[in-house]
Amino acid sequence: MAHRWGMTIDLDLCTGCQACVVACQAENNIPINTEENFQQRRAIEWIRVERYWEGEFPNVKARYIPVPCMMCENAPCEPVCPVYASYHTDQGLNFQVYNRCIGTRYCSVNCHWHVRFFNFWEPKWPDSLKQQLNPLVAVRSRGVMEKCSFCIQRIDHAEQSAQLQGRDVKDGDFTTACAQACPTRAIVFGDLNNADSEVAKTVASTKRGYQLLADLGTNPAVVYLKKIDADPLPEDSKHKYFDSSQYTRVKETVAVG
Amino acid sequence: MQERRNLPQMEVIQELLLPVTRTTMWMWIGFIVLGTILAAFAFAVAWMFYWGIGVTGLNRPGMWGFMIVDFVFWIGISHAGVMISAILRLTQAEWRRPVTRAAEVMTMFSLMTAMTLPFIHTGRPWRTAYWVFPYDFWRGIFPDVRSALVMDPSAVFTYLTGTILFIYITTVPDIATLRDRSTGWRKGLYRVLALGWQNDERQWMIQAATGFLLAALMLSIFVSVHSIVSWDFSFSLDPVWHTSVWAPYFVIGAVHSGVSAAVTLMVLMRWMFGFDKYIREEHFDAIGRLLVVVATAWVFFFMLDVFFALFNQDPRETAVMKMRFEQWPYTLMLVLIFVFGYFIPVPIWMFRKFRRNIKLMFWTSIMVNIGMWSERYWLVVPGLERKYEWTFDWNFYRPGIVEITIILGTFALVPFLFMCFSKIFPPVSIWEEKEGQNFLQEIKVGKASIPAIVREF
Amino acid sequence: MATVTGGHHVPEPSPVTRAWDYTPGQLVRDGLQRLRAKGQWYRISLIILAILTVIGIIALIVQAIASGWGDRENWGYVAVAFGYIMSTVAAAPCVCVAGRLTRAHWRRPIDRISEIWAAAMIVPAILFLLLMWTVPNTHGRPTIWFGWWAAPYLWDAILVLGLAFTGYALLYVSSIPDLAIARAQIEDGSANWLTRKAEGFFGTQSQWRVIERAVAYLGAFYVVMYIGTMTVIAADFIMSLIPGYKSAIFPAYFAISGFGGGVAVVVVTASIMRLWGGAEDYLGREQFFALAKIQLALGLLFAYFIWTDFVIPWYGRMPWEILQIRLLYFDSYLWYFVAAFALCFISPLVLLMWTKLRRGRVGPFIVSSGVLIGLLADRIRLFSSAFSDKDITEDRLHALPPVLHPGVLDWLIVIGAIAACIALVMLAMRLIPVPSIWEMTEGTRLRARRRFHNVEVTIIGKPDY
Repeated sequence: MAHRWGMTIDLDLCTGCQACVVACQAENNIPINTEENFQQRRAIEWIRVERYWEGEFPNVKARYIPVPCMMCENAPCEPVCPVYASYHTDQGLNFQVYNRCIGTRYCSVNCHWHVRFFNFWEPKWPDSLKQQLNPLVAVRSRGVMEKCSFCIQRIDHAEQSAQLQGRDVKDGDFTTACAQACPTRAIVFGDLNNADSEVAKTVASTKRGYQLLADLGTNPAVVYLKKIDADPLPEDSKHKYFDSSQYTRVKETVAVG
Repeated sequence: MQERRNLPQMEVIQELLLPVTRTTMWMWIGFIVLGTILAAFAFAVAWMFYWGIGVTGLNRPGMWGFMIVDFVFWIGISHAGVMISAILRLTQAEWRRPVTRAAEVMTMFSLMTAMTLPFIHTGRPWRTAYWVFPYDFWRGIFPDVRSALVMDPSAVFTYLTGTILFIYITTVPDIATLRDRSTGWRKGLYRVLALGWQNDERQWMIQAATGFLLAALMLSIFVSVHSIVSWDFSFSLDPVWHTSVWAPYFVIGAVHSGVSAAVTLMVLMRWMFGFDKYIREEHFDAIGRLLVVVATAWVFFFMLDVFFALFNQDPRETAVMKMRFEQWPYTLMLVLIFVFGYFIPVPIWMFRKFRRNIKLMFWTSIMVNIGMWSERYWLVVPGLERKYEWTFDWNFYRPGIVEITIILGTFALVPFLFMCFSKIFPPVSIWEEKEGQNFLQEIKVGKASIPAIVREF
Repeated sequence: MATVTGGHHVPEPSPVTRAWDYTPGQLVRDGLQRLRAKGQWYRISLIILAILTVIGIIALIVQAIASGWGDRENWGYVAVAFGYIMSTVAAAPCVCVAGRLTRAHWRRPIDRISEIWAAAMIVPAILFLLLMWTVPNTHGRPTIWFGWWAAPYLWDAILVLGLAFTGYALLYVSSIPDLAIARAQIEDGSANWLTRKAEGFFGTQSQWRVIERAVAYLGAFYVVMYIGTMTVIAADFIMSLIPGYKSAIFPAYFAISGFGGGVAVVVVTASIMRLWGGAEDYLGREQFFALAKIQLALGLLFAYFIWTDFVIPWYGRMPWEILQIRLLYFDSYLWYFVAAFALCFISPLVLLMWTKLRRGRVGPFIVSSGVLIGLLADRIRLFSSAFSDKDITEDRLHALPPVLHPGVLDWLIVIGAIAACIALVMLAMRLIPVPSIWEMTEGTRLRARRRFHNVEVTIIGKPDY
């Protein structure tokens, strides 16, 4: 049975520390995001932590939600690419081929999780960091799209070593950089098609699970677990910064934390 | 139609060949001013190629901006050509005669300009040129025909090819006229291009049949081009983009802006080349009447788009609509769309007296295109700035100086190319004008004498 | 004799519309023939139509008593009848408006044939008043009215009844000069009551100017009203009854397909008038050629709008979009859709594409009859999927609603409504001259044959007003 790599993200455990972002940055040769990049809204973070405020001062709660690529089964970004740079692997991964990409940015326009990033500039690293680049990951030039790959180099490595040992990949053989770095183990990575894996068990047993923008029918491979709010804010003070009169459905679909 | 009168054929030929034979002061000024802007345009494009898309104001998720808006706008302008020459030719509208050639040429050049924009807008244009166009088969990867971005260039290039053929077919008799009256390199050029035109009956028959056939075939391309441009947007799931009305809405909007641009062009030709005897008030009258209908249809589709975006009260669409209605600069654009695109020009065009006022027609047509440019911006950009519930990522797009220069450049490029064209070929079709002179008839009813025409088929 | 002039092919327009060479006297005699005498076939067909109408009314009452007023799905085929008449009969007068606005010369013989269908506008108005109560108010569901007062009932009613009224006004105003002729020509006291309404018309210049203006403005107003009404019907009677269906092209599609139906009605009526209505000399190839061209263009637009309505959810692939196209195009109403698509688009395209068929008089008739049948299938597809049993307060479609196939009573209602329209038009032909005498006379004056170099050509005057 083919693998279907997936992830569970337990928002009850997430503290918003951004360790996953840093780990991803180091693992996948993502250029340094300067303050200017952030101000231009062009920072590249294959996994990003979105922060939402809830309630009104002094009863304010910060809500965090880490967002990697959802690896949709019916990814909207795929059929819009004119050159097949965005394509589907047989392991259910939604993949970006940098060499094919010509940078029309249509995939980003049609990705509703906003996890596709464009190299607006030629990536640069200070001299001191040039030696730390991961040799297993290509450095992307300017003008191409890039996105979370579920650490494909780690998947490949695990599959090859398992093959050498004449067995199948086991759960726990490897994990992605973000899951590895997560101090609270909020992010768990594994094979959804393997019933014994931790992610499959969690998905099967949890009552808190949901997918982001599930109503689009793309079937994301990332499952979120709702935050258990021991001391919830009164309903009317929630989602102040969402303008709750307009975005009632936000609560159901994004359901931050 | 009192201005209609019979002119001697020699006079028609001499006067319509004026831009080819002489370069007036206004043409010199045009060449210099437009050339300067084009130099800035070339520099901006080079700058963007060198540094990358980073020099624009684009961001995430606002990945498409000024250049795409301008692309849609110029594709829209290009719809004037077929609208005027094909549809009016097929329906035998007599007033098409002085406008067809100019509108077709405008179509050709605005299509070229339009296709420049998405090309330089890609992240790696050199790859686009090398790998996508022409298709390369040795890699074993055919372009993904499901993508609107593959259908789009196919449609646009088909349209461009059709337009060039159409212009050529309808220019051959005039090229022969030029061939018989020129010397030097022009003589050689015209001799090759005239394809041995001898003004015999068989040649005319072939020319007319080809013209009609191309006109009929191009009608379907005409509709498909802007539909596919709209599908670039509405095949995606973005709120307010993902709507079925966009295809016909874009087409009718394109006709609105394109025919208005044709009016602007007609006035400019009158002023620059002195074609007062050929581009007459009655032509503005007829085109103004057409514009009233087109503009009203456009407003109908606009209302459909707005109403049915709000219809379901889907919070995702409402968020974008709220931004469009309440936030600067979209409020201003909304006013421009309505007031410049409809509520000033259309009441003016309702009156025969105003339709026959050249200056008024000029300014109203310019106004329409300001409104239509805003409309394209209003349609395209907000959809990305308020994409789905990710309020953390909601964003604002502001064009960079490079983009603004490029946009200005496209507005210089089309008239510049048009002026170059009219230095080589007559911008008003001489043979059609002469044919129209021949068809002029009169019918006596009682005491009145009514202008009449020969039925063409 | 086909010759070439100035690069253009001038085929002989034959068989010509012979009426162009008629004297005014002949035109008057032809126009008044049905006002003077009625034939036997006329009487028989009128009786049959009246019986069908009565059966339809009985079926409607039985249906209402048997099932009660409450359930919307029982009214599905009343809605089909209403929608079908709105998109055929009500659209027919738009044909003459289009001809007048573009000052087309060929329009003159078919003007009255097209606008006389306005006489049947009372039928959709009555059906609308019955149907109005099956549509729920606007609370808690998608609607274009956004909480307007008395929406949707009051505004829908204003539009539908206003359209009917405008139709009658247009028909009356444009026949005033003909009624005046009838009043003057029919001396034996058998002149009908309508002619007495035209008593004040003597054909002075100012009266003519008023008539011309009124016909032009009423016509333009009728078309605008028609598009508005169809938009609102599409929104209130179809879109808001299918949860999540917010395809913005749909109202435009509804109106455009209606125009196609209108042209088809005119072509079919013209064919019948040519064969049995004594109008053979009036309806030549010129008329059918021009109408067939419009029919072809509207068939293409039909396909274009259907395609845009279909392709956006097809690319969207969201679950409720998939359900929506399964409901409207694939699963539930597949064969209705196939019939509509084949008859409203494919048959006009493959048949009318050929100039020979367009120029003939059989081709346009066959195609237009097909369009009328196809349009019925299409309206069944739309109105039954709207009126079938489901929770319309949901924001999206979650399951396919059941299919409403027509039963015997349903067919009787639909046929009765159509028969009522035809009967009304036949009655109107007893009152109003067909074809229009004044427009034909004007046409004969503005047309001439003249020598042009070495061929004879037709000259058409274009008055510059």
